[in-house]
Amino acid sequence: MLVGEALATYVARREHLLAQVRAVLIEDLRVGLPAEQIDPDTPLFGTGLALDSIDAVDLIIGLERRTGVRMADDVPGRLGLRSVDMVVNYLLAAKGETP
Amino acid sequence: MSTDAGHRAVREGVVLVRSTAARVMVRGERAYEQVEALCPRDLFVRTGQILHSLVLDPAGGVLADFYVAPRDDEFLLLADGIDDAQLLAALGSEAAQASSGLTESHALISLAGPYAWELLAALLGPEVATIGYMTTVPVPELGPDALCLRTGTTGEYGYDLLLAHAEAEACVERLRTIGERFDLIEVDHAVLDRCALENGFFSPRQRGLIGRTPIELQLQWRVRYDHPGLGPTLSAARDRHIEASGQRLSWVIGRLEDPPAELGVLVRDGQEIGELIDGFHSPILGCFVGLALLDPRIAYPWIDGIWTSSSGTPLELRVEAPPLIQNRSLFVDPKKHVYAHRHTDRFPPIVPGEDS
Repeated sequence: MLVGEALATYVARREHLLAQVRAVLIEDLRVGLPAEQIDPDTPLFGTGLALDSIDAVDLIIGLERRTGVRMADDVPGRLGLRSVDMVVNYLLAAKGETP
Repeated sequence: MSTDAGHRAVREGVVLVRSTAARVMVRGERAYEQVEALCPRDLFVRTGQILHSLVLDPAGGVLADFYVAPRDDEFLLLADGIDDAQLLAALGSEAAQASSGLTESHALISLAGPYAWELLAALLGPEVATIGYMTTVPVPELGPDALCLRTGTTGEYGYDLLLAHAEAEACVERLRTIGERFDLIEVDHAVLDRCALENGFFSPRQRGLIGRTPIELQLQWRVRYDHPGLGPTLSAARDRHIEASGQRLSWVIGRLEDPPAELGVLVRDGQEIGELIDGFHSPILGCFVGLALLDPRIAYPWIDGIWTSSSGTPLELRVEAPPLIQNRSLFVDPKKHVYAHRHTDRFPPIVPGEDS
């Protein structure tokens, strides 16, 4: 169980990646919401931010540019794009930083 | 039909639900302004599209799930969680004069499941079944003003058919007849509410949510804080919440071997960190899934060691990011798959981490 400094480090890591995802959404995809209004569990496609397939390409490119992680065109990659926090989960897993 | 069987049918087949959502048509020269005043989001939506938002109470708390579907100069409003009279009252007295509740005249029949599209295609043709998510299309086959809306809060294919009561029973009978080859079953809202919880969708029937602010419920994408009428109330409610606790709605799951958790206070590392407000044992995931309002320092996926502190045996919970399941509808392709071949088609597992 994460406690103390390990918990703080994990939370800070998630917040850092969350900020990067929000930056891609706002700066690259022109999502018209301030960062603090993009909640972690906001859906990305269909409902929520209502991104489309073209946005998905821009999102993947933007995430790779900012984080160095390329989201694969496979089932885990597709499922990793369902919400903001699912993207963060994917990035953490790709970097081997799961708790 | 048990709730568990209905739940499985939503995830693997198709179900029919008679919706209780309020339904109102707003008409008149000032229809746009009246809907804009009620809808806390930019009313940027055209005929054929659906805008997803919230109906708020006077304090800026969430009152109902809200869909706005313009039809030329009119606006069809659907609000799950309140009735027509409440929706008309929320619109205000001026709007109520030119608007009408439709519940007495029109039924709202919902279909949900990975093969809902196929059942609807058998009823109305493939063009209707393959309309985009959050869009509408007239369906004159079901009456002169009948409408099909592609919506849904289960993560599966979902459709609402709005049609006159005079046509509705015949429609349901046809669906039942055609539905025999889809093992169609009729369920109540409780089943869809469970599926909504698994998928991270808000439902007004989930316990403990009504009256909470969009920031608590992670629904801020459905509002704008600079809304000319509702913005100040929303902003004040948000600021009060941040100052008071900053708790955030989070999804939690139990261990596979554990019984369902009791609702109540949650503790971690000896500290009270929130409250478990709703939940059930998922027959799909095989474990307890719930909603918790958590201290913002703990409300992050994969944080475990969260314990119930009710009178029974303490149970451990872990935060997860929804959707908690890998919806079959993501992989069922109307161009390739049909219900009859579902056992031979290969799909990724519904439960993350399981072998397909």
